[in-house]
Amino acid sequence: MSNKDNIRGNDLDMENLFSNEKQTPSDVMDMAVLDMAHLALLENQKPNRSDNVKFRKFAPFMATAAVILLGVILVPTIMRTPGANLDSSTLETHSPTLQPSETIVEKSIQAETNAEAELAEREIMESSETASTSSIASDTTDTVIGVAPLTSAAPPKQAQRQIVELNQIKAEDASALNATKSARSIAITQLPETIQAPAPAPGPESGISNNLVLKENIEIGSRRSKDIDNRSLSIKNQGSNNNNPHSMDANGISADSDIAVNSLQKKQTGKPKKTYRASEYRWVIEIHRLYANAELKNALDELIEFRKTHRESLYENTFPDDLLTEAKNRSIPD
Amino acid sequence: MNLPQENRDATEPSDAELMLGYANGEIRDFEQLYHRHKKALYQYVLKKCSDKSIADELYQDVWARVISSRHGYTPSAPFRSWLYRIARNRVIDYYRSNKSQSLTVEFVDTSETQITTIQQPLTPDELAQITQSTDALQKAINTLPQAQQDAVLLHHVAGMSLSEIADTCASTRETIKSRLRYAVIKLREYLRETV
Repeated sequence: MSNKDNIRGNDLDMENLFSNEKQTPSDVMDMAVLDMAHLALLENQKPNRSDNVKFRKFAPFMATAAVILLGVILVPTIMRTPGANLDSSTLETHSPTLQPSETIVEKSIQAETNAEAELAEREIMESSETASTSSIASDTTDTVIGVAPLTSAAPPKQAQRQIVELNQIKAEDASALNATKSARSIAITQLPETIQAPAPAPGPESGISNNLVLKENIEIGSRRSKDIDNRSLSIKNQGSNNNNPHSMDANGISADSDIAVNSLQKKQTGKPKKTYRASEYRWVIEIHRLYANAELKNALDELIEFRKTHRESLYENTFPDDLLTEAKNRSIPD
Repeated sequence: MNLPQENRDATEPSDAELMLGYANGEIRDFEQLYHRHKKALYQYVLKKCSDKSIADELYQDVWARVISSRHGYTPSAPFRSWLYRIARNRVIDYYRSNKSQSLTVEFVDTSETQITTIQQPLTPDELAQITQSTDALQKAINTLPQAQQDAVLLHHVAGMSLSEIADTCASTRETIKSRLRYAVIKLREYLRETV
């Protein structure tokens, strides 16, 4: 018999004493321990340390690849996004002080005065070759109204900026606000119906000759036209003394100097070049210029053509209401 | 009382196999291992603490340590020795960190002559009277020194051999034998005085 058995044989009373103990762990404790064991196995199934290390190792590469992939997908989409997607309301927020209807009225009044001024300036232009040379330079450098040329693929921000500049030009015309709105409206509505095609030779004479009422209004504004004549003359003289067209103040490069340029073009080539149609923005400027110069028929023709070429243009909201309405009426087929 | 390892069916997996199976993700192996040792381990912890609430806490804590150490277990050591070493250390740590609670009343060591005089086992009548008192045995255990407590509990509750106890308590087999002999004598003396 082993030593152990001897002990047990001698301690039978102790064996019996301890065997009477019936205390066991409760069922709750059993469940708790077994749940612990089960949870430990579940946690063991999570990514272990080596997996984490691998993930950390390759995470930068994966992030870089994701960024490149996103770029490849998004950049062509962004590049294809035209500026025309901008909502007109968005553009309005960039010029909150602009009041379109009022400025249109102001513009029309300014047109009346500018038309008379253009008649007067023709004589000035014939005697001022140096001034015209300076004006041509300003034209060829795309500084007709003091803004950079806009390509058809101009980004939305640039388009907004140019529209804001356009509105500033409108605001300048407010200084000549003295005439009535009715005169301008009558002049527009009395335009002949046969001007669907663009006029071949837009000029100050054509707009005025077709509008007798407008001439009456020009007589009303004769006093202002004299002032404009003087201002135009001073600009031309300034141009003759200064070869840098950019030295002019932005406000100074007004419709007056534009008139001088176009007049000289007509004189040199016999007919105007419609190069402005290559640029949506320059075309818009030209229409505004014609309207401001009271060349209403030409402005209407240009606007009709413009609307045919540029459907749903952003700039459509910048046109005077009466001109735009008339253009829309003429565009509707009978 | 838990069955000794050598008395189990040979077809049943050993403790070491079950523990390795659990470490590899087999929850059923752990369940089998747990049910095999739960009663003995609980009584060991309960007798060591003499406070059921503390014993419940420490008992679960022991199993928690077994679970968290499953990957560190090596079959070179007997599972039962490994399990009770964890339990014993856990109880000692608990009372070490809670010094206000004394683990047991230190028993005054008796002389060799006194031991020889009280070596007679408890009679059946004495055992019957002792078992009627629910806490007599617990009070008697509490009078033992820690080393003798471990020897008595690991031998009579956990069913461990002297060698396993020596392995668990990091001692020698002869030392464990001596501790066990002194512990039993003291228990008899205390219980006889009680009844």
